[in-house]
Amino acid sequence: MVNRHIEAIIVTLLYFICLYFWILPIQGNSFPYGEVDAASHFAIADYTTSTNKPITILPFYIDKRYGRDNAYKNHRLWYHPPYHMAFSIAQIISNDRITSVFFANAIFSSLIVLSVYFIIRKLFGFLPAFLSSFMLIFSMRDIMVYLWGQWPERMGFAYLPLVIYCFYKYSLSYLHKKEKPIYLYLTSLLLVCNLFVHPMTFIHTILTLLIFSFLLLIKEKKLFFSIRHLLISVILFILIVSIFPLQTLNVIVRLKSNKYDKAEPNSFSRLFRWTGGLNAEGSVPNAYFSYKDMIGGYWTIPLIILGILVILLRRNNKTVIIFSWLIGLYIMIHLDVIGISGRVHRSLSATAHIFYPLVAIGLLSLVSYAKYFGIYKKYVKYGVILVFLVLFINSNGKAAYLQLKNAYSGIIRVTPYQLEVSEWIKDNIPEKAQIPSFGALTQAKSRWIWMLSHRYVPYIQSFSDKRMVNATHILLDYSDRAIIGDKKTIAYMQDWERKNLANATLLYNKNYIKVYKIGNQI
Amino acid sequence: MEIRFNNRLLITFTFLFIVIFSLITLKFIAFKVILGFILLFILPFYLILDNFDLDMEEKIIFSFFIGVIFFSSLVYLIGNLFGVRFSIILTFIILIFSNLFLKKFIFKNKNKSNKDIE
Repeated sequence: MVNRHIEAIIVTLLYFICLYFWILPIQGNSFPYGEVDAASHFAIADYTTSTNKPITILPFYIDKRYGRDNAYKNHRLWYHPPYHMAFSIAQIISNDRITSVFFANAIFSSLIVLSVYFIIRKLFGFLPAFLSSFMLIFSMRDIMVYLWGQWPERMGFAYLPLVIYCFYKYSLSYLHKKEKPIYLYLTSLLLVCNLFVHPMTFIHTILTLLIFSFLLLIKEKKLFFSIRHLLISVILFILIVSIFPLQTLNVIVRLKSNKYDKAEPNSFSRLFRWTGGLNAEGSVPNAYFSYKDMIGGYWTIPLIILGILVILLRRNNKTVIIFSWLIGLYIMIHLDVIGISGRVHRSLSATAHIFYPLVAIGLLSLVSYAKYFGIYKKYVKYGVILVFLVLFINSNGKAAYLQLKNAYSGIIRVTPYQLEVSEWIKDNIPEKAQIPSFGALTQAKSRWIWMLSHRYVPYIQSFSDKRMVNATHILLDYSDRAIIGDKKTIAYMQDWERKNLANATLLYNKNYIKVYKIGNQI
Repeated sequence: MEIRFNNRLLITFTFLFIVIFSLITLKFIAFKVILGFILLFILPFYLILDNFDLDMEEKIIFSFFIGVIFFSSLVYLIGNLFGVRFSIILTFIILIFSNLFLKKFIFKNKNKSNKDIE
């Protein structure tokens, strides 16, 4: 039994260690990084802060890419506003444009470490909770998705453990005839938050809740909630989600149309495999589907199986929660079997959240046999745990550290030159300008320039691109090509510049980046 | 008395962690963001949840997870009228006063009965 104050210090230390690792990409390099999604999340907060006004109707430069993403009402903000508003608050209170957002994102994305600690601590005690959270710090799939830029999804998954915990506490209080409806109302509030952060993770949570309710009903053979309390919670939920009708209806319209997620049903054999047979069509690397690379060495599989056996054998209300969580995840990542495949590989990123607690439960069930070692039982128990931690750090810790430390290093992320030109464009070029950009190394970098400059700066790979037709300006970025020594592309760009921009006005010419004003008027 | 001392010690430790962490990582940016989040997202909702029969860990964790979204939602809604910067301050004041109102009028019997127990 650990003293609760010492425990609080250990948890604080654990979380700060986690944050230290997760902010490695921005320690010593404050330039933005991530794929196109990351730039879009940054853009919403950044525009809000710079104008001091929340976004309702999308500004021109965001609308050019995301104008149809709100399927209920085009040209309106497509996400529920609070998640991005929190980034804007971070920018305002720190008076910093870029690092504050990435730091706030590190806090939000790593919240799963705290929420898993919380639920496992409440259900199974300190050691399993500590081990689960410790492992989650180095969860490769979580880290990769966090680095790429699916930011809200990372935070959304952190709500699931809290929602099921509150629902479990309410059911328990009802079954013991000491009703505590506050837990049901908290379930409702947390569900609203979950929906506002990310709809897909909300579906994960709802599915887990339904499975938990079903299993509890079978186990207890009676209702475990008051209809009155349930009605109040549902009304509470509906009332609060109604404060952002355009975004809530967007979720409903998208779910009903389901046009992005329909695909040919995958093979039935997928049901017997976890990731096998999944294919994200090149949008993620192959390692993303590997157990060894993402979860840990194969030596952890027996511990997961042992963990599952323990919860199946105990069959109390606590283990029903873990079992429901596991079944919920299993269903979500096997939706491709019934032809819904669009989000399956993204659901996969929630695997560690339940696998690691199972590993911890499995390991500690083994360690419980230490009692047969008499006076040496403590040494055996903590010795085994120490060996486990060393093995885990060796298999996952090192890889996670390197992944975070070397994330988007060098010119893979926006360079100081590109940030400078973005800020110049923001201050000097009209709002509705259309500025095709040629030369940046990747589309993601170009998208960052687009969002940092608050102007429409589409990425083109050919000067005959259709987006050249309405161009008012053009951005020729030689800087990346000069660094990598891409003489062929530089020659192509120079040739085009000489032939086509002889009469254009050169507005910016610095650090191998040029901005011209060309024919079309705004 | 001992518990109070321990709580103070815990708060001191946490504050020290924040200072050391900020110094070795992102300096003032990390410090301001962490303290800002504690003040704006956790504190108002912790005070509100304190009116209910929940244990301390539950109040801390729920206040952050609910606070970050509800505080930001209120800033968004009020910000449409007064601008984001001013609405951050206004939202904080509204939430602190809401808690005082709840304590004085809604939960006064509960607080009274707690005092009777003490």
